Amino acid sequence: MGADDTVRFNSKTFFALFSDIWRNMPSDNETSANSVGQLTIQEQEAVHFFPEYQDAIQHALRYPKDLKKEEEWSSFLVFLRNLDSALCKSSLNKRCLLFRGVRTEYAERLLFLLDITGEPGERSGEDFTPHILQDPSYVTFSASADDALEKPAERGISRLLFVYQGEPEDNALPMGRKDNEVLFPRNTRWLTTGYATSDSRITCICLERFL
Amino acid sequence: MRVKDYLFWKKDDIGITRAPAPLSDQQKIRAEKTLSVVAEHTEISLHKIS
Repeated sequence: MGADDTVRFNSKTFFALFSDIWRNMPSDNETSANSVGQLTIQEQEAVHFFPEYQDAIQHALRYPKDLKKEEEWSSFLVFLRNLDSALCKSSLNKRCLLFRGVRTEYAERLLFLLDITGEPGERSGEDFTPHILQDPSYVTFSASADDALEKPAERGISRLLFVYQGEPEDNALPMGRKDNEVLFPRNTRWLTTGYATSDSRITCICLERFL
Repeated sequence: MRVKDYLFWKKDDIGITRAPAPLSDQQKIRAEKTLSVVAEHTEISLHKIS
């Protein structure tokens, strides 16, 4: 869902989820939290809740303008607070290469915004201009490049793949089937550090977290 | 297989600004290493540094 898909986003249905689960959830100080490094019950609930509804949650965080008026927005904030807290307590357990894609209809424009032509065989040189990317939502990466790369509708179309070398000290939550997906905190800032474009016009852009 | 929508950025999902400082040599080296690993471990054929 992007900004153009707002019509398809049903805020009533979305917030009904939070009404059922999160409105009556006690705050952390009303329950016994586990020791540092372990998740409270609320944090565990948030972690389990996120994968099923992440498209809608990402949309709500990226385009919150009208949603803030909803009665259940406060319940949504409780959910966010618990997921944020779970992310603070979690970290990757190993070094791993992670990928995130870009929709093909947006790839050319994004390459332009990053001052990259995306010509086959091209790679970053001394004139590379680093940029910072920031997503107001949580961001999921996959350990599978295939999962994050759209199949081209026709030959010769530019495709874009972001690559991040995850480190054990990274605050992130392993998620998904066989833990092959990783969730990073919302509002993480990403620095582009280099790129290369394959003969089939797949541009891989390296990211580092910008602290 | 249906594409996992949440693994992709779309128009207007992210804000983009120029970085306030040039990259350090270490950052450039790390990027080259990462691209080498991508070329080695995926089907994506990236040219080596000339």
